Amino acid sequence: MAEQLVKTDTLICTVARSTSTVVARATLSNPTAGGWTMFLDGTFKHGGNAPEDVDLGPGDGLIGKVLEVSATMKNITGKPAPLSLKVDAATQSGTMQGEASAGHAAHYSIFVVFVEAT
Amino acid sequence: MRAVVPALASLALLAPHPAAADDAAPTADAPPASAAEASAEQAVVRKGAELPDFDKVRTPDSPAFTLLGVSPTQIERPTTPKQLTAVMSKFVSDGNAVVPKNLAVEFSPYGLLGAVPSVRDYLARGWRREAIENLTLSLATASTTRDVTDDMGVTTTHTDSSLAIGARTHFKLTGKPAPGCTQEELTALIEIAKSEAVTNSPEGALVRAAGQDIAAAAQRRAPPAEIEALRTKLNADTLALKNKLVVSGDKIASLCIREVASVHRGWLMEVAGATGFGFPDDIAKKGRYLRASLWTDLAYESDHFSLVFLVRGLDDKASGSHAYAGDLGARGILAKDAYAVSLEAIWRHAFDRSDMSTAPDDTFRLALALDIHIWSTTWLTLAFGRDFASSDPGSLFSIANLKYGLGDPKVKLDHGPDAGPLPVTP
Repeated sequence: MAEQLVKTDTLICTVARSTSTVVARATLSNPTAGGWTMFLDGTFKHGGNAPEDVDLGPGDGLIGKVLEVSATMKNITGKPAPLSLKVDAATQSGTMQGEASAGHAAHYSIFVVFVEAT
Repeated sequence: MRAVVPALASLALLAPHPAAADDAAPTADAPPASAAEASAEQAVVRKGAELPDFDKVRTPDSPAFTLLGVSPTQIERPTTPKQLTAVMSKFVSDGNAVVPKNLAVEFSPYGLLGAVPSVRDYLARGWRREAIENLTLSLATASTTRDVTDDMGVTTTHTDSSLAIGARTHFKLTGKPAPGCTQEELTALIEIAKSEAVTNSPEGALVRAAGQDIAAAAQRRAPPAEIEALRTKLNADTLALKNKLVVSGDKIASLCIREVASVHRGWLMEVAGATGFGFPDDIAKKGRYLRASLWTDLAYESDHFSLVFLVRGLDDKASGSHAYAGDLGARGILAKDAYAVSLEAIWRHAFDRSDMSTAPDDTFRLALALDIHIWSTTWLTLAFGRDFASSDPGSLFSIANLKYGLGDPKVKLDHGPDAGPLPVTP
């Protein structure tokens, strides 16, 4: 069985209730051999391979909710390579990275907890 | 190498086309000024229609079909020994051996009988093993009718059958594999990421509750250490849950290991052979050898350049005596985003030609094609050359040595949102 690289992290993201639209974006490292999905409080929002903006709705409805960006990537370069997931949500961003051997995969989840800006 | 396709298509435009003279003639009710445009339009349409035959320099995928000159609309490709047995059973009828009519079957012996290799084993294959595992066998039959008039002046129609058996393989000589993901594999990776999402699992409620706790702590302006402790606990809990959800590494190991679009960057060798037999009046006992052919090519491919050297031989006994011919040739294609240039040269030599024959022993085919990207999806195609049979009536080469087409290629440029994954800016 191939070696597994599993990581999770939590990002606390402040948003103003007055924000009309909050956008999140997931970016996987190059070369693209992976997929990502976004779940907001357990509800599937969107998935893809390439970077893409996902509209999460107004800030008022996000306070206290958790956005999970789950990504599965494979190193297809033939040599050890870093595999990374970058998540941008509102004005904040977080990155998760790990070194994967050739042919091995990384399984990441970044949890974005939305809290009210004070 | 997306520009290659229009360039190769232009070579197809140069191929002998019996209807070319008629196609080029202006129609009676069309004004003379638009006749050239109409001709170009027809040429472009014809170019598209002829695309499947464009790559005649390369070794044929199904040599048995090529040898018989048939283009079967349905090719049976058995994937289990049982299916293969069912196909082969068509050769027996009422306990007698028969030649089934219009059969086309192609199969890989290794694919049918070989064990599924591990990913590591598959990637470590040497050229000999690749040649064996890539071997495919093809078998085709075709029926033709002929009218025979006897001494009494009575005409009867006879049905004859032909049967050809072919084999083909290919293997890499140099070049590191540059694997990529197909669209299906990319979709599978999204589905895997979806199945591994913690908040999508039954334990997702715990994560949502922890998120609300963090939000509540931030709301009441709790000390940063308290919020950090909640965050640390959430990280530990989610990592444990994520580890439970992660799919088998073996499942992911089999994804994205092949070279996408069959483009191998390096040297590749292809070998194929086929032999054909004729059965007058469909009678097996009357069976006789018709022809045999051998194709080999050595091809180099990179992102913008491809080169093919070919050697092929043919023994044709359809007319009753052996007629041997050999081809030696090369084709090079240089392609960039805005243009593609291709040059093809093949020398053909006929061996032991009868003293009665007036045809030359040596003939050649030479074709130069240039595709220029004009705008959007429009390409200008210029082609020049001559074919082996340039003196034959109806050969496009003998009618026009320079021809152009202005129109849309049959392959869309991969711009826009449907182009698939885009490179990520670090």
